[in-house]
Amino acid sequence: MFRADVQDALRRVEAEAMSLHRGPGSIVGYGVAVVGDEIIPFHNLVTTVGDAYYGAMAIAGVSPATPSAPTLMTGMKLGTGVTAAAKSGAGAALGTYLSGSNATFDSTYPQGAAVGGDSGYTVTYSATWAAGTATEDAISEVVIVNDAATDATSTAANTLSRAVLDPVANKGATQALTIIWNHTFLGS
Amino acid sequence: MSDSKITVRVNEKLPGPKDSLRVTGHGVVRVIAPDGTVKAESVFENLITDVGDAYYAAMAAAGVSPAAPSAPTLVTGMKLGTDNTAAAKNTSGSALGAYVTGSNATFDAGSPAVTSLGAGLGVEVGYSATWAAGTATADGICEIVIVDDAATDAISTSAHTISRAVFTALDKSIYDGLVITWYHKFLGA
Repeated sequence: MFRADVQDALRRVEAEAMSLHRGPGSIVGYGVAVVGDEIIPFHNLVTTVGDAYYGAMAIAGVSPATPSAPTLMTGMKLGTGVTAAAKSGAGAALGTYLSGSNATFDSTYPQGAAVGGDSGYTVTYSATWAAGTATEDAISEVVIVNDAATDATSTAANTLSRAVLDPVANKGATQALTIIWNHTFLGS
Repeated sequence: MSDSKITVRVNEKLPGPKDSLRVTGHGVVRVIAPDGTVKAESVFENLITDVGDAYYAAMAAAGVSPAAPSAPTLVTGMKLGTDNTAAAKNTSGSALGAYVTGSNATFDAGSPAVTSLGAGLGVEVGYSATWAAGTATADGICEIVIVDDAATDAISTSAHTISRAVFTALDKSIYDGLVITWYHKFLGA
């Protein structure tokens, strides 16, 4: 369970996202970046690669075709690029990788929970950067990737989802950063 | 982290509707005459149930470390019915209303499969099932479900049903085959 103020921020950005996106059958992505005493809400973009990933995950192992699962997501990376998120091309991957920011998901993530009230089901991803790692004054982009073990930028082929932070997150050397990222599945 | 001085920095320029990812379902039911021609056809749009939302979310996260949540019970096939209660997220509209005996069918060979619709257009997951002549013979077939208990020749509850569709009623004689092709489309924008 998150801190009360983080939960409040998540609820606010979720409500905003759902009001913007609530149409027939949508998966809505949103989250918060928590650094120091600041909480920065964001919406995400699921890339073309992300569409394919979720499509493949949806039927992995189902007989008789029994398709294989895709390469699984492993964590997040940060960057300082500000290119608008896009389905493919430059906006579908980190623009400027922040060295040392490759992070696997936190120990109990991903995890799912019902939203309730016929409002779908949420998968939550979370990653944390401790004090002294990924120190940067202008963290402006974050991605969910399948190559979080690699301390280098990720291509669009490795990127499920990307978000641009505005305002940017300022992470001092003594501060930790946590990103909590929800994908809410609501079919129709 | 200190809780004493929390500031939520609202982004006035959060992206708009284009950052959603749509999952919608549609399909077609075809009654096949003995000579192989299409005798009757009905196109439908489906409803993904609450259970279906949970199913797809669980599939989306299955095996991802470090939590590595388990996959849900996998769907196995389809069943037919004759009740035209409107599809609903839960309660009676989220499961078959009147089961057609013997209509439990596993997915066809090669199904399910995922197909790219092109860059930026999303993907479609396709499920298909076939009922040969002499099986599931009934008049007024008008409902179809995707379930995780297709091995059982009996009605399925909502807990086993990820998706349900109601369509214009079709009659399947003892000589007819029936084929259903059903797509769930995943599209982020």
